[in-house]
Amino acid sequence: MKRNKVLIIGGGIAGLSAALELSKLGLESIIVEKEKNIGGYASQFACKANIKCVKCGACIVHEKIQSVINRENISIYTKSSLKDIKKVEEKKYNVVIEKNMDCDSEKAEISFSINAVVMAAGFIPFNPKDKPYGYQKFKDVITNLDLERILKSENILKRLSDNTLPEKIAFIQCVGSRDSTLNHLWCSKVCCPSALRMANLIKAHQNVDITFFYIDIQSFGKDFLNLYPELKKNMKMIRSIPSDVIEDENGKLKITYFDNTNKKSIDEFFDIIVLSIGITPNKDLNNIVDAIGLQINDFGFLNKSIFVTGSITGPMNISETIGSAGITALGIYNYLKV
Amino acid sequence: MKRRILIFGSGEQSVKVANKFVQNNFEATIISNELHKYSELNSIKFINKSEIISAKGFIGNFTISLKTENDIIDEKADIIIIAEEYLINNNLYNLVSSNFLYNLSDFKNKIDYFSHDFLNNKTIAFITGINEESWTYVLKDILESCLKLQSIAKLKTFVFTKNLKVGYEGIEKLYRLTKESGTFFFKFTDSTPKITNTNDSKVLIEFIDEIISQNFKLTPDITVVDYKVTSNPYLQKIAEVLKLNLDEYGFIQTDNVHRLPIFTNKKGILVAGNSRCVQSDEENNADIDNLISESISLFNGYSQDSKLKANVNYGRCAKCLTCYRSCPYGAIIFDEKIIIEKESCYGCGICSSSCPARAIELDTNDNSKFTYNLFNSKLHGDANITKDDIYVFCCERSACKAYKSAISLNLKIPSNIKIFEVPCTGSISTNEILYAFNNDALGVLILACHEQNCHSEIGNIYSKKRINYLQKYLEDIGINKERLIFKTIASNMAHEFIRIINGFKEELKIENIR
Repeated sequence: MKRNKVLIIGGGIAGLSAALELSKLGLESIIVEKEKNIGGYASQFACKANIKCVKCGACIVHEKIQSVINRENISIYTKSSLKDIKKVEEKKYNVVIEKNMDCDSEKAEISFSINAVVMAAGFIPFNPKDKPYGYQKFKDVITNLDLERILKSENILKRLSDNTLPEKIAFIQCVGSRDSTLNHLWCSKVCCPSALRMANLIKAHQNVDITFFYIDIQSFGKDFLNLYPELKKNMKMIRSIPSDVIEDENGKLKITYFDNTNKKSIDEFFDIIVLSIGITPNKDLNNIVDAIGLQINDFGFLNKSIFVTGSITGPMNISETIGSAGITALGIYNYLKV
Repeated sequence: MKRRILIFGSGEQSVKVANKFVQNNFEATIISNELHKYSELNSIKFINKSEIISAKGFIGNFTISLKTENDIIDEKADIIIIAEEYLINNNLYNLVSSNFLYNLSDFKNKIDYFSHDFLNNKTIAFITGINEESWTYVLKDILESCLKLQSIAKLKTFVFTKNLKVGYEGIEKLYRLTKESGTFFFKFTDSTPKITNTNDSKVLIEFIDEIISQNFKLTPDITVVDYKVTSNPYLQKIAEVLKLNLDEYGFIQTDNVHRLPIFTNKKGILVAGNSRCVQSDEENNADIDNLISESISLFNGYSQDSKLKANVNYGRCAKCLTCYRSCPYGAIIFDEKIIIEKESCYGCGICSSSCPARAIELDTNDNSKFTYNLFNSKLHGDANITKDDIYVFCCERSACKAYKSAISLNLKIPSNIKIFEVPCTGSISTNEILYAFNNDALGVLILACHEQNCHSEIGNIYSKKRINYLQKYLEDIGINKERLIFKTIASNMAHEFIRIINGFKEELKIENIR
């Protein structure tokens, strides 16, 4: 049992949690991560507590990273990818890992054999540049992921274009989610909690008006029923998704939306616009998926199995991802035990 | 010998848990406070109609006393699992019960028994999330019911809601499918539909269609209302006896990310599914795998035991029971004298700092005669002590991690700071803070976890109270109280760590303290 090795593809919160659970069960795992650091998107998230913890889980990700680094039976290859995988026999694969992908002169390949593979390669954030919201065209249109990174290092949010303090911020939800024109017929479910918590945090630190454009607010967390009425009070909630964003000559961002209450189209100006971009499937994996016999569902996410964990199976928040690691760990443990 | 698992539960969840434990080579016994509805299964041992009255022991060696119908019995266990069912509150809209009204929890099981003739040409309204925000699994039941009804007969289905809860796998698509196949959805933002009874006990829904701004009245042939899930009241009793913390809704497991997914404040007692929160079946199943995985790990040589353990100096102990009451992990018992269960102790030090007789110290677990105190705790930063020093007491779980992260990110660490790594800010006593001032500290900063993020649940709260009290005391003895502050931080916030310290240094400069 001790000699069994599990290859984990992806060093985000899903891969790290799976590795830690496997490690506790006495199984050795090898994490392959394409980025420079482990932790994935969730490691870029800010703590959203305003004195009181709001249970976003960002700190837990940081703690998992620390534990993985200190664990003896977990090895980590960063800036690496799985170049080749071949099934030799049941519960035995030969793999080739390419190391130092980013640097041609230092590129190296290593080969070894493993006994099981766990796919934990996560999601791809929706790229909103093709939506009419001016992302990458107007500097002050940012995504929720950009905002997470900013709030992780700054306590005051400023306009990226001119470093001034914003007076009005808009959040636009469901960018790339629940969108039939894209055939994205799913709710990404992590954006309501993340955007509402970040909006609340910004309000606590600076004097700013926040407008929140949404379709339906999704319930989240144990405390949602208490929390949501509080969060709502601090901002203007508009149940409408804006048609477009235009920057005027003064650098203000104009949002046009249909006001259902008054039945008319309204133009409103903002200093910063945050797009809550959705979770989309990681499609960059077809060769691996075939090699280990995984299945892709109608949406492009992977079907759930013990060999697949985290948001590669569909939108998942941090706590759910941690929870799903137990399924994988127990599954693999029993699979290799027999 | 097989490890023994005791499972508290009276429904399906407890059987699922027990079966999976049995499959994984554990011995499982279910304890039910009623007659367990699956008690005829013979793969599992059931103890029916029995209520927990007392408990002692620790992981690997628990003894639970149960009051059964005609006896009191003791049961041994290596691990205890809480897997009780939730309760359903169906009466969210104050409607009188009648043949025209169904509760969603019953209705979905009854659809198969409805005849085509009964359903044909009927108008059926579903009400969800109107008086209180709802959850995705409720919507899932409604959407599936609508589709099923549509397939049985020609009828009209309506859904009345505020926020449509589609945040679950496949629900958005199911919603669209339901809409396309003829169900009408009315979503309310600015208004709330009025739901009352007519004189003949039918349900009357008066509402505004917000899109066309028109008033409507509907008297459906059948109205199906959603339900609210509440915690099982028996959890209170279990928690009281086992010294477990409840959340404010009566579920076992506080709303604290350190308890995810299945942990309680007591080692060796785990909680699953609807005993810990309201969640989907799929998440309940994930909990079960986590229970098994954790239980195997615990007896597989895996240990994450803390370095420090509380230790009582009996010569000093006055048996005041302050420690007993303050221990967040249920690790202190009183049996003629105070006994600290090392197996349950996390070494947070709350008992030690709370003890009025200073009779409890933190020792290392390995009998190396090392006694923890602040000034042999891990000190980071410049070892030379100067009178411009700021003493920063950092919780090892949050602030200290943020400090280390600041170093690895090459952030500029402010000068003249002494970082003391403490197991929990709840372990810092007034004596230690006064000692810091006595040692010529310019300022003292306590950096704790955010409220509700303390692994020891109450360590940060105790610490905050202690600091508030000390600030007043400092003034009385002529020390500027601004020299002592309490702040909270998360482990992943390196930049904030630097900001807080620089901010404090700035304050001290402005105050021109010395």
